Amino acid sequence: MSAVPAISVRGLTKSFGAVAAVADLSFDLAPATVTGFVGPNGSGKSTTIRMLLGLVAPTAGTASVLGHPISDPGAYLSRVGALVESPAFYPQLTGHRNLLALARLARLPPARVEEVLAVVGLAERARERYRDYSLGMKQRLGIAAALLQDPALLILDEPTNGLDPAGIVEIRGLLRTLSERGTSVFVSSHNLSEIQAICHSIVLIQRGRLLFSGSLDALLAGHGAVVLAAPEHAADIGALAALVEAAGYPSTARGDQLEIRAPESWGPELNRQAMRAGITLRRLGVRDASLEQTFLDLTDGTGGGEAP
Amino acid sequence: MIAAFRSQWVKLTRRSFAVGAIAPLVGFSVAITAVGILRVNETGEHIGPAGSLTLADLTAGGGWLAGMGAASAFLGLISLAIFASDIAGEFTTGTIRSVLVLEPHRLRVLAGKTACLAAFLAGGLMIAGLATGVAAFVVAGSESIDTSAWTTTDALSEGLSIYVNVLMSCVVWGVFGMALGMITRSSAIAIAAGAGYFLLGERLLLNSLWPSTEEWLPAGVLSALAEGGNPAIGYGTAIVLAAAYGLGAFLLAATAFARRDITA
Repeated sequence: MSAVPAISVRGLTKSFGAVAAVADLSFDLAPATVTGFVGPNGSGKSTTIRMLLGLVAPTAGTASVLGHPISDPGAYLSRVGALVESPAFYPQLTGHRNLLALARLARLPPARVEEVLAVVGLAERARERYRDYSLGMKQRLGIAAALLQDPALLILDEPTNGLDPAGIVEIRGLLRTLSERGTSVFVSSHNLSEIQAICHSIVLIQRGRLLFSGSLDALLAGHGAVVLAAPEHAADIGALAALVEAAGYPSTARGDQLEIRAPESWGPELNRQAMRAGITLRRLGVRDASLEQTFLDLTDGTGGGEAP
Repeated sequence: MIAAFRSQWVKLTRRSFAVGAIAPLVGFSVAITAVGILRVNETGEHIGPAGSLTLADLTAGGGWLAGMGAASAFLGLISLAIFASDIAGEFTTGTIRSVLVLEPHRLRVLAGKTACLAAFLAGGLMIAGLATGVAAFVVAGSESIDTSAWTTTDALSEGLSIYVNVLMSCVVWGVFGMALGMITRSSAIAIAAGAGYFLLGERLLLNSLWPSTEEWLPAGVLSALAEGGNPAIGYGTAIVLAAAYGLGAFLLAATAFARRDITA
C-alpha cells in the first residue's frame, strides 16, 4: 500500500462573497479505502469535491490528490473518476454516444465504452437516448463515465441515488471490488446506512467545517454506543437513573428501560453498582451504534434532510 | 485540442442537431438568393436587410453563389446562435463539469470546441452553397438572367472565393456567439444580445453616437468581409479587422472560462 494519501486536505477554504462554503477543512484519505463524505445539505460537500477536481478554485488552503496539488489538476485527473452531483449528459445523445464523446476527450479507445457499460449493467440499453433513461439508468451511466479511465481514485457524489435495491447492492459490491483492487473511493451520500455498510472511514462536515475524520469504528465507539439496562422492578428505574447520572453518563428512560450513553465496557461496572444498590437488572445489553444517530448527534439534529 | 475536437464532433453530428443547424443555413441562403434574383430582375438591384445584390453580381462568374454573400448577415447570426447555444448549453446541462474532469486544460477544450464548430460550419455552409447554386440556376433560368458566365472555368473559383469569405465572416460571428455564451451561460440571452447588437445596436451607434466609426465596427466589418470588400471597407482591411475581432472575442471567452468556478 502506498504511503501517499489518496487525498490530503489542509486548511481548505472556499468563500462565495461573504459566505464561507468550506472553512479551514483538513483531512486525509488513505489509499485503497472506501471513505464516506457526510454532512447536512449545504455543508460544503459538493464544493469540496469540486475543489478536489479543479472545477472550483479554493480561496485559501491547500490540497493534494494522488500526491499532486489541486492547482495542477492535469497531473492527476487522468487517474481520477468522478460523478459530481447528479449525472450530466447530452440529453439527445444515446448513452453510448455520450460515453464515446467522453472517451474521445480522455483519449480512450471506443472498446472501453463497451466495457464500462457492461460493468454498470447498461449494455442492453446503451443505444437509447439519455433523455429517455430512468433516474437509475442515468445514475448508472454517471458511474460508467466515472469508471472510464480505470481510476486510482473514484469520487462519487450520491452514487446510489435513484437506484433500486438490486442496483444499490450492485454498486455496493462494485465499490468493494474496486477498493480490493487498490482503488481509493471517496463517496458522499445521504443514505447513512449505505455509508455504514460500505465505508472504512468517514469525513463528517457541517457548515463547511470538519466535525470528524477517521475510521467508522472510532466514530461510532466515541459517539454512538448505547447501553440498555432494565431493572427487574419498574419502580427502580429512577434509582437506576440516579446511579448512572452519578457515574457521569447521560441516560434516557424509554418504557421500562434506560438508554445510557456510555461505552460498552462500562456495562459490567453498571451491573456491579446496581447490585450494590440493591437493584437487580432484568436486562443489560448494548445497542449497536448507528451512523444515523451519531450523525444527528454531531450535527445537532440538522442532518438527514432531502438530497440537494 | 484534437481530443476535444473529436469529442465535440460526436455531439455535433447527432442527426437532430445537424439538421436543425444546417437547415436554417440552407433555407436563408436559398430564400435570399431566390428573392434577390427576382428583385434584381425587376429593379436591377436588390437591397435587403441582409445585404445587397446587383445584376452585375449575378451575371459574373460567381453569380450562382452571389446570393449567399447577400445572405451573409443572416448566416452569421445563425452561426452566432450555433456557437452560443453549444457553449451555454454545456453550462445549463452541467456537462461542462464532466468535460473538465476528463480534460482540465480549459484552453484546449475551448480551442478544440471552436475548431470543431468551425469545421461543422464549413460543412453546413458547403451544403448551403450547393443548394444555393442549384436554386440560383433554377430561378435565374426562369427569369431569363444571363448565366453564361456561371459555366466558365472562373465560375468555380469565384464561387469558392465567395464561400471562403462567407465562411470566414460566419466563423467570426460564431466566435462572438461563443464569447457571449461563455459570459452569459444562457443560450437565449447570448443569442438575443448578439442579434440585438448586430441588427440594431450597431446601426444605432452609427446613426447617433459614433457616425465616424463605420469602418471599424464589427457588423460592418464582417459584412464587408463576406462581400469580399465594399466601398466603405476594403477586403484587406476587413480581413485584418475581422481577425482582430475574432481573436479578441476568443481571448475574452478563454479568459472567462479560465477564471470561472464551475458551479454548474
